[in-house]
Amino acid sequence: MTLLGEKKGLGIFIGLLILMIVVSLAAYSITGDMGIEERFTHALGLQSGGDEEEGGGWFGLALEGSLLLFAVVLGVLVIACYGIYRHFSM
Amino acid sequence: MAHIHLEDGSFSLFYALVWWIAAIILVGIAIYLIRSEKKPDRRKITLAAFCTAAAFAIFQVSIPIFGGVHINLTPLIGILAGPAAGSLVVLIINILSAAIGHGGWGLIGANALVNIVEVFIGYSCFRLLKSAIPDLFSRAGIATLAGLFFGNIVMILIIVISGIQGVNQSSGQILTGLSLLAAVNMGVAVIEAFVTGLIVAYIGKVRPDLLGDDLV
Repeated sequence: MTLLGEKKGLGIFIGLLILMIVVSLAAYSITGDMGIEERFTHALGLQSGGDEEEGGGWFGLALEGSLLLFAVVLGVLVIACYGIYRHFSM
Repeated sequence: MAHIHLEDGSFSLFYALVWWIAAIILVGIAIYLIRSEKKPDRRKITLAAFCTAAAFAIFQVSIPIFGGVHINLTPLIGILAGPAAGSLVVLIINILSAAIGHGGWGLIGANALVNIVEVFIGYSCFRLLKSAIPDLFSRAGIATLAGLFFGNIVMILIIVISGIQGVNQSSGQILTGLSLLAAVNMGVAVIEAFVTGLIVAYIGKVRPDLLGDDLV
């Protein structure tokens, strides 16, 4: 590898890094300090706050926070993976 | 580092299924390509397993900048494991992440699509830039920035196309909000690009065979 080739790559990389930092700092100054989920909520205009979301889920069924449904979905996934494994390992 | 941090029910059932089906089709193609190889590449399978464990762990770590963000290492997965195995890796990571409450179950398809794009672009850039940029550190860094940039674009497209249930904002307002979010994300991509560059440069120095003879 030539020194010129190495420096060219590094130059492009550093240039891109500086550009990204400037753009992200500008966006950060506009949006303010907030966590990633809060940032999503704010960007989409969703209602934040409250322990449980209202109107979330499908047909009144919300997977998040339901231990039983987590167990059911995980169980289905485990069985499906085992079936696929048995099928392809033959 | 693009990841749709929304709860189940944010997308309508129709769009949740659309993205799930699209992801399953892509992963199905990946499985077909892996199985059609005459001789299974055990080295790549081992690398893919390590990538799954490492990326899943780093996925859950919140970095305290810009209010708290996480990195994905998806372009690194593409560079090390390739796009076919990498597609499987990101699907597994998203399923495991949903199991511990990081992203909804219904959003696994959409998030897998975003991450598959990151894997594919990361891998492609790293490969295509070989002759133009021989230096592994900068090439991996640039490939990571490109992968994460396009991942953010796909994330925005998926959300704008799907729409969010219970939100009265126009597509333009959502697009503006998400563009700002993506711009902040790219600040974190700087860290991810630096980390990926260092890892790839180190692997290239001590075990260049892991990167593949045609990539070093």
